[in-house]
Amino acid sequence: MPSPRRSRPFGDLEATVMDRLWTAKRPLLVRDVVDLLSPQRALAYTTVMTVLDNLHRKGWVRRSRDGRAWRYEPVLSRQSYTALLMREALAISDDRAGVLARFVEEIDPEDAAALAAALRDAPEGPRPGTAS
Amino acid sequence: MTVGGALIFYAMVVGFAGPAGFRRAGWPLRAPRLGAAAVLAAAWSVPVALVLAGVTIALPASALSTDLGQLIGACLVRLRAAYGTPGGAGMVTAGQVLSVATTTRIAWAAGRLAHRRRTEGRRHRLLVRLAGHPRPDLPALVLDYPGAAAYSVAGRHPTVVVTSGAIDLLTKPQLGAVLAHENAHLLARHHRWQTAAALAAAALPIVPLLRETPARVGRLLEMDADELAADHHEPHVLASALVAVASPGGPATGSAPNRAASTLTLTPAGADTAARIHRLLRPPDQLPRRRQTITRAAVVALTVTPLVLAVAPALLALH
Repeated sequence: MPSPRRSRPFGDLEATVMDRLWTAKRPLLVRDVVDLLSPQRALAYTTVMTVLDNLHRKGWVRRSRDGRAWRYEPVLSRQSYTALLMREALAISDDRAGVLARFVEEIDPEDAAALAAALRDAPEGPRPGTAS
Repeated sequence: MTVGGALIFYAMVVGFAGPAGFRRAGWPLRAPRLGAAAVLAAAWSVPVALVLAGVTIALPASALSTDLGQLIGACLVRLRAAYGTPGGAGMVTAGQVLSVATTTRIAWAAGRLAHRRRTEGRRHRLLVRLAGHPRPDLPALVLDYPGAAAYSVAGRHPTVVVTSGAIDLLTKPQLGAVLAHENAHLLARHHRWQTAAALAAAALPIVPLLRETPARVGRLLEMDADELAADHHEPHVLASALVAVASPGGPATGSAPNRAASTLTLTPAGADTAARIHRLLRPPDQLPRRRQTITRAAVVALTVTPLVLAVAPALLALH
């Protein structure tokens, strides 16, 4: 698992390579990644190797020997990584940089229950409806 | 030193006594946008006063030693008298340090903020690429994510983002109210206010007023967006959406605690949400027009006070 502290999101190239690894659903050689990228982005073998090496160093991919080459696969699934990014994006209450404004923060369960009760007791309006 | 001293005194009073004043004031809740403007004006007048204090201490004394001093020597003598500037290298250095240090601090904070914004923007673009999918029936971008959340992203392509979890959780009217709230942030350019607040806090976090500015401005802007959304949506529906989205793991069930809502102590985030709900269910009276005008004048006065303090003696001396 990557460290719980805030991670820098992937750069453009890193994101593209990760995208291919996630789509492939099996460990890939550097050569495979180059081939998968080639229609849209013709990248040098060494460039892709460096990107994969960096991703490995940062803990985003794991690798295993395949003869003389390495096979790479993502440590987190696409969904888990999305969830991680989302949690980080939403953990901004204390250091808003003026990019993102969140509708409402998640609150303490007790507070939530009390607010729901207050809403039900409100003089006007129907009971708070939810889809469920 | 009198003018410089007055400016420093002004910065101290506003910076350290300001929070108590804003905490006591009830009017910002009745006019949240005006309130946010007042908070920002008060906050930014502190670093401005400090920079000007440094300049008024250093300039009248130091200009004497330059060639320029030869040209307007007579004026400078009167200027020094007007500012009560004692000569001496010590004073000049102290003044220069004060203004240069404050300016550098602001520039440094701006750089850090710009970096954080880039990171946040990149994270958002990545999220959209990984989990975003178009929904032509909604004026928002939908992210596949089980948790309920909605937010707006400023920048070159302002977007309202809502998670699939929120769509599943909310009724259609609730969702409409939430999206209207987020869209109001973008239309009213609330992100710019928030950036100015974040910059003030990052520049001089030692000063209580500046440290508390982002939270205080954020709270008021949320209320402003609630108010704008309530123009076209049922306030009660928006309030119920607030509770639903804020509740961890879906809407709070009927097993409410025995505590009465009025007596309980809420966590800060809970209290903010409670204040917004209260405001939506019982909208406060609008601030009378006369008081709005007076408050606007006070906001302008706050912003120009340091400048007037700094420049007035020079104008008086030279005329």
